[in-house]
Amino acid sequence: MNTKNYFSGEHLASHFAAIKPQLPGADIGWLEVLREDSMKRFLEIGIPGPRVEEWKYTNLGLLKNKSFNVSENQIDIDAALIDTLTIPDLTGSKVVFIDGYLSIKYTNIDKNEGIILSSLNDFVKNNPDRSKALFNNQQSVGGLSNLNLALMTGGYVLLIDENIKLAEPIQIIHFATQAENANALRTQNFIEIKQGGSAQIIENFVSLNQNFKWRQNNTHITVAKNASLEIYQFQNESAEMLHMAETYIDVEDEADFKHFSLNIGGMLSRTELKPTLIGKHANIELRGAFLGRDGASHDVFTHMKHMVPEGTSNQVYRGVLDKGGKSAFQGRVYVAKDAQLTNAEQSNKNLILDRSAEANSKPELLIYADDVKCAHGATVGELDQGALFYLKSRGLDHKAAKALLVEAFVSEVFDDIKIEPVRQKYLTLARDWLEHGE
Amino acid sequence: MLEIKNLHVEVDGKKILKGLNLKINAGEVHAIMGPNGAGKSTLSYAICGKEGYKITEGSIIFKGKNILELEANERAGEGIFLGFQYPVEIPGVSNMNFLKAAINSIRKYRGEKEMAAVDFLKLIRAKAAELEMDPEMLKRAVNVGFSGGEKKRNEMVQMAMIDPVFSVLDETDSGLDIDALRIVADGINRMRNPEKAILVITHYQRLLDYVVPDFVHVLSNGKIVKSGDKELAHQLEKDGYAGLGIDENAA
Amino acid sequence: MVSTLETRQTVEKVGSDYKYGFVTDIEMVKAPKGLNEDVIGFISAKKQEPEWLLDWRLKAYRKWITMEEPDWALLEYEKPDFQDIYYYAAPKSADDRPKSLDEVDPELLRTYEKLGISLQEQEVLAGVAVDVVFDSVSVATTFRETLKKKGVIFCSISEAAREYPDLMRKYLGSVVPAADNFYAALNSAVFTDGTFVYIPKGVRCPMELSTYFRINEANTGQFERTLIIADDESYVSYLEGCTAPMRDENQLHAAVVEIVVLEEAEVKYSTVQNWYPGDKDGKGGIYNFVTKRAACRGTNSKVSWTQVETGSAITWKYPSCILQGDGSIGEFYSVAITNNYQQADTGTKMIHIGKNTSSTIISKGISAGKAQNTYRGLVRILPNAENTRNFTQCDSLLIGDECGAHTVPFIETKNPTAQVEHEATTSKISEEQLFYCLQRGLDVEESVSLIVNGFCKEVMQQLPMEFAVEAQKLLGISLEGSVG
Repeated sequence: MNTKNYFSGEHLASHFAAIKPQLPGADIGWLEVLREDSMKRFLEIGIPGPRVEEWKYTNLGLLKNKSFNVSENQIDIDAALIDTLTIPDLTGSKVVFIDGYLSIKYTNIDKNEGIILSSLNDFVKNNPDRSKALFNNQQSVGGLSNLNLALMTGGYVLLIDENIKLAEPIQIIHFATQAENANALRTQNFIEIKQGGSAQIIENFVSLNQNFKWRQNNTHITVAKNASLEIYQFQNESAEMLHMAETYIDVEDEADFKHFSLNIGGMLSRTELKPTLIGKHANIELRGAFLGRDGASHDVFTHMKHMVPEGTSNQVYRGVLDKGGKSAFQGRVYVAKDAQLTNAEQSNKNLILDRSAEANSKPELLIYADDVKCAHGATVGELDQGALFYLKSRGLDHKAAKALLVEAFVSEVFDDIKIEPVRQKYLTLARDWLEHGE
Repeated sequence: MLEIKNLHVEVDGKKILKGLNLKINAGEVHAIMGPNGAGKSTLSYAICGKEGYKITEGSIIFKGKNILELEANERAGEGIFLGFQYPVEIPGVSNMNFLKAAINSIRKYRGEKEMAAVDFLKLIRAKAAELEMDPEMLKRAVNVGFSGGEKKRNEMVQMAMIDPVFSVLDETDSGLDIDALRIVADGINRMRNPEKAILVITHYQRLLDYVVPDFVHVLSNGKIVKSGDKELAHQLEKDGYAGLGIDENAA
Repeated sequence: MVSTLETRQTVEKVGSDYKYGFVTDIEMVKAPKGLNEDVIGFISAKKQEPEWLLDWRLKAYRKWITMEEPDWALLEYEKPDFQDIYYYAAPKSADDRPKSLDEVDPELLRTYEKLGISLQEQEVLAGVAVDVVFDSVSVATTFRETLKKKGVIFCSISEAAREYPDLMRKYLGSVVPAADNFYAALNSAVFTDGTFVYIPKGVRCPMELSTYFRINEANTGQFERTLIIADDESYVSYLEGCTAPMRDENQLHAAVVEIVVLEEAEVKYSTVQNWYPGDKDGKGGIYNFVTKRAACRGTNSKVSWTQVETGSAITWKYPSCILQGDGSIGEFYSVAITNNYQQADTGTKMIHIGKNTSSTIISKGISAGKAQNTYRGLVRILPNAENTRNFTQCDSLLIGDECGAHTVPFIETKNPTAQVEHEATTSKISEEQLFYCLQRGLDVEESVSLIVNGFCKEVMQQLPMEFAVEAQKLLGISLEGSVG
């Protein structure tokens, strides 16, 4: 690593020192050591500058002179607001975070045999051994992921026992208020689906902040043999949010992992997905869309690691960039020497709707096995003028014709979603965004 | 010309042929029929020397020579041709270049001079015309974007060009409409001659109406279970494999 | 003459299939090993250069010493010791520059015959004008008279510095600035020769121009610099070939090629790079760090790069197009083969600045043995580049399970009317394809060569005839022993 391309995060050291006593689990020795070590690693590495290839399109210079604070004393928010953030017709457990801390008031967890769903802080307190194991197995290596470990204020833990299938999807709401004394929101989540188990999780990121806030939400996932996990994410935060989410996923034999995401809000969003196929016949599907305008910048970074033979992976991402929007898709497929008969595909298509918009794409293949099928495709372009004209000739006005085409372009990503209200929510959010354009 | 004795073949450790005997003399056309999975394609690959087809017992003698030690290309040099059930696509390599390279390699194997470019061109145009193949197809990459029928016709053009002593035609009739079937059959019949021999492998009797075999063999569970003349094919058509006491699905 | 006997013995011991690995016994003039301002002064004086050029070199050198060798490519090698290299080595007789081919050292001519290019033969039969760069010095430029009649200038770059100072001052470093990158800066400081081409307005160059490069001397770097200027409505096709002797130690080649294409002009630049790749165990071979860039400055100008890269231990090379003129066209056709321990990180940059510009990238990477082969490319559409088009196709072929094939494309678009398409695939030679060829009588090596040539066809058909046949054979030779 060329350290000179990183800038110092020294100013966060004092932030750490200041809030350390009030961080959850401050009295738990091993956790304190973990926080200290993680902070040390962060300070050694620093914050990546634009000369670091993986951060070429996302400038974190804005972090240079920022000071941060956390607050456990949540301001009260309206129950009706939380309701609007919940997908109706789904009756499963609901976990709500407000400014990075669990909201006891709005969280509602069903008790089920073989299923543990808990706030991270409670879990650490009640299950020290299992907690230690979870933290020992997590794979945070980067500076920023270590920063999140050092400064995390909460998160959730979901453990599904062997052959237990979660009946209803869990809804998780990450809410940020306008409270100015809580501008660093750092959560850490752990999900373990044991052999033959299955679960579905819906995560909704919403915020009201009018001043700068920095969210880091990192998730560590294991999907064991024959198990399956589906995650549906919605990110529609305010224009003052720096949104970062890193997810590490280990997928074992014959297991399935599916991840859907829609990034709309935030001044800058960075979604990192790092799945590793560690068991044969594992199957991974990553699908997402990012819609950017008015200075919003979305950066999706995937690193698909095929470590063993006969895995399949598919990545489909669509970007729509309107006035002042910017995007980067950086998708890497790595096929290790032993991962013969891998089948890996990747597609990234981008639509640019305005002169001031920008789309970047870097689909990357690193192949070390010979008997594999790997392909990627990337396109950047404007709307199909022929199709636009055709629709107009049938009587649609320009705006409606455009919206229809863009919607078709985006919805392709979400077509296969089986939970109808979730699919509808994706489409509604995308449609709302499109209608707010010119 | 070809004598197969007690042939046992394994693929991926699985026994496919279990003591097959077959003798084909010059001038004869033999047909092998049999249900799916009986080992028909395995027989053709074993004769032609495909890697992964392990001969555990038995022998294949071609023109008095044990060919089991020969590589696939050396067997081709000896005059064995395989018409593939699924002809392979080779992007970027034109039919013309492919055939020229093939013919000259075979000539080299036999210690003959390369074919002059002009002679080659004349010959390939003539053969394409005989088999009613559009000469433009010769410039296209080998089998790339060809329909099933075009691929099979292309196999026949290659066979006519290479002019083998012994041809194995593996399910050449599958996927052909009636016109293409007639053309392919004409191509095969043109190869009939007292010096040459042909082994036709087929699932259906249909092709044998056009290419009348001297002998018909029924292959089941890795062995030839019945041999006869063309009437055997008709009997199979009428009564099915079950009529011979063969379970079509339990190969 | 220090090199010969010992080196020759070593080479014999190492043994290899590299056909061009002989060493030529010619008396050489050398600058002392290592690099400092004195050595640069020595080079400049040897070349009787004008003062501005010495200043230009020194400026590049002073910048270079502050720079670091780039490490972003997917290449692993021991960084060269830049003080352990001879920066100037010239055949002694070059001090008495030959006036015509008859005066060229016969030993040298024999060398080129061994390379398969007899100068006379080329001159007479093919009508190809050849400039030959031997180690660092241009030794003979044929066909000059014929070209002169058309107003075409085709000479060594040292000569151009003396004879055509205006053109040189105007264009040298105008496409690849002196301190563009680490290797380009090094080249700017020490380039010892290379080719200069000027095609005047409206002239279609009557023949293909060609340069053969050869590194001969041990511990010598080759730093040639090529400058091609195609004036309005002109056309030239330029061929470049390279070889080097087999040596145990790695040798450095850091060249710069600059092309300026003016209104409605077209330049076609073809390379067959066959530097010594090292032996089967990865010992020796050329480090090939090359900066090639073309500026399409005029409207509707066009540049087309075609490269067949089979040699070198390390290849770091990104022939690029700056599409500045409206309607200008950039093309990049590449075949890169790596076998044994070779590593290649190669690709292109297409920078779309003007309106209605278009670019095509076809890259075929073949990796065998323990080799690593990377396509790295950038397509950048700037905000004012209306209605631009890019199409990129990158295909990789892996032969064997110990090699790697990688694709690292960057696509950056800042204009809504652009259409950029990128596709990439990875495949191997299937057992079915191989068996099909074998059954038709081809042996394994013929089959592989045929299938690989088919895989590369779209690129190979871009090569001029003279090169295509040689290149086709090279593909086969480079992959010998990779299958079965």
